[in-house]
Amino acid sequence: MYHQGDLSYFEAVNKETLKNAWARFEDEGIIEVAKSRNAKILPRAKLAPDWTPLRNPTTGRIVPEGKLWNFIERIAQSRREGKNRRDGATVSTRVLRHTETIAQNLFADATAETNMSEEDKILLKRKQKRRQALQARAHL
Amino acid sequence: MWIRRSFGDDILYTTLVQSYIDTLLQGGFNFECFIEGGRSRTGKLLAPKFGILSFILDSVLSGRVEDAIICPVSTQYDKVIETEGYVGELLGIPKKKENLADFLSASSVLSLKLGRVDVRFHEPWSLRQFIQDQQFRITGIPKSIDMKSVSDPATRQKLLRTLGYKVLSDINAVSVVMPTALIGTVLLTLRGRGVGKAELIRRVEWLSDRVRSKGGRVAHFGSAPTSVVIERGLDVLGKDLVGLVEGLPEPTYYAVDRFQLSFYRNMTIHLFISEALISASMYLKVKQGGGPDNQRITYDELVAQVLFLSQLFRGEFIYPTEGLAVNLDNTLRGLEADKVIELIRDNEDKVTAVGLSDVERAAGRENYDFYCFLIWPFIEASWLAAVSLMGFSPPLGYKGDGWLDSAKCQSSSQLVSL
Repeated sequence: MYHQGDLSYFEAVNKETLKNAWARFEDEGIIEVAKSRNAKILPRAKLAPDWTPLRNPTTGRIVPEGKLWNFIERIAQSRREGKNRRDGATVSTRVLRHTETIAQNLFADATAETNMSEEDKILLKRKQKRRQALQARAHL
Repeated sequence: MWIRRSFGDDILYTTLVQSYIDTLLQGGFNFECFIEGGRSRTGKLLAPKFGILSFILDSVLSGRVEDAIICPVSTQYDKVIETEGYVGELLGIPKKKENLADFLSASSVLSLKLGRVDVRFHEPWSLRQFIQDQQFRITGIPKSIDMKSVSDPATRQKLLRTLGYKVLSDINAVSVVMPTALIGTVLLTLRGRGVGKAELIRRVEWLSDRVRSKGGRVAHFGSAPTSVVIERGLDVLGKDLVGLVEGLPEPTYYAVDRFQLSFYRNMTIHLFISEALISASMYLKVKQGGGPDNQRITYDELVAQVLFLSQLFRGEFIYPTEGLAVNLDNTLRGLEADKVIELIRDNEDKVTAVGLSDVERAAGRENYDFYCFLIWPFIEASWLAAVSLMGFSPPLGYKGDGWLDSAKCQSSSQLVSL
């Protein structure tokens, strides 16, 4: 995106900042992250059901609507309008195609081993309950 | 004293470390610890680390040690040593395993031109006195040094957090902004591509004033004029970070490596975080353009967006201790006094809307832009991370349960951005 002019700051390609953003999304319950007791199984992530954007039943494309989309738009409101950035309504859809394609590969790679064991499911449920009890959410 | 990096659930080991520290303190030995893990890496102010402080607090609370005197120390370098390797790491190049050869060549780092080193000490204070003061604040009973009353874990936790943030804020109170941080901040908050020498001097002086007015300190330039200090700072940063366009009527500087320079900018950002969040929130109207009326934002809209952004970045920055909501009105008034914004008030003197002032407009939005430029890279990064989440909606007819490798998801966010 940076190289195609959809991103103004190369600095945004920053692992540390992305990691912080992910941690925040997890706190807000936008994504669910599951860690296994089995050290060999890497942590897995998934969009929370109510944050998952829908797909068009005929084209299979992601529909730019819903909770997550509104959240993105809200951040975008404070985002810099660049002279040298390609802007307008098309930008979001083009960017969306881009992320769709890349994520597609992840789904293709996900095999049986990333599916959850029963034990881990119980662990996750417990963690979610604890989280809800804490109610530390900021309600973004 | 050598200790393990992480203790896990090892109760015996924790007890052992506690008795190490008890012994050191009982013997009256000096003991140095770094509670601010990680600042050297991105330059940003980070939350304190409570591990070692917790042991020290316990030594005094338990009565095994009568008192401990705490002396907050700030150590700063003109040059951020680690940047180069760290930039690679942040851009996704895997970290190299440390080896002996690298360690030996790291000694060359030490002979690098690091510029000036600045070490400052805060006035030392008694930990015992601090605990008593805190107890007094909570219970209202003066000097009843009943350490046993802090056996309740929640109270102890609160005490520890207050202690950590006090040490941190004492460090900050004595720490100074180095010339390289000023130059880095100026270069990354420009609208244009580069800056002429005279303008660079003017901006650095302007920024120094801003830092001071926010209660920060600027490294003492002695009697040297700003131009000389900048010259030296540019020398320390080197031409890999800041370039010079020659053949122009005036020497013109530009940011070569924005990524590395961002570490220098990060050293000043915490001073202006409230202004930056307000400016970025006002931007949702300012970006629409048009006349002043069109660019004005209602107070309620502004507050909503400021709260939204501050929540979004609560892992990224340390906010002023009084809380952003409380701080908001002070910051608005400060910006009004600086003639950056105008506050529209109703008959009852309540602020109803906020817009750019005529003075600021006439000055080409110089101050306002500065605040926006500070925060924009972070907004962009969050936007990017959120956009990349959209892709994780399982494709139609997908058979799996939707769980994906978390690390791979994060690196794919990074891939999307390139």
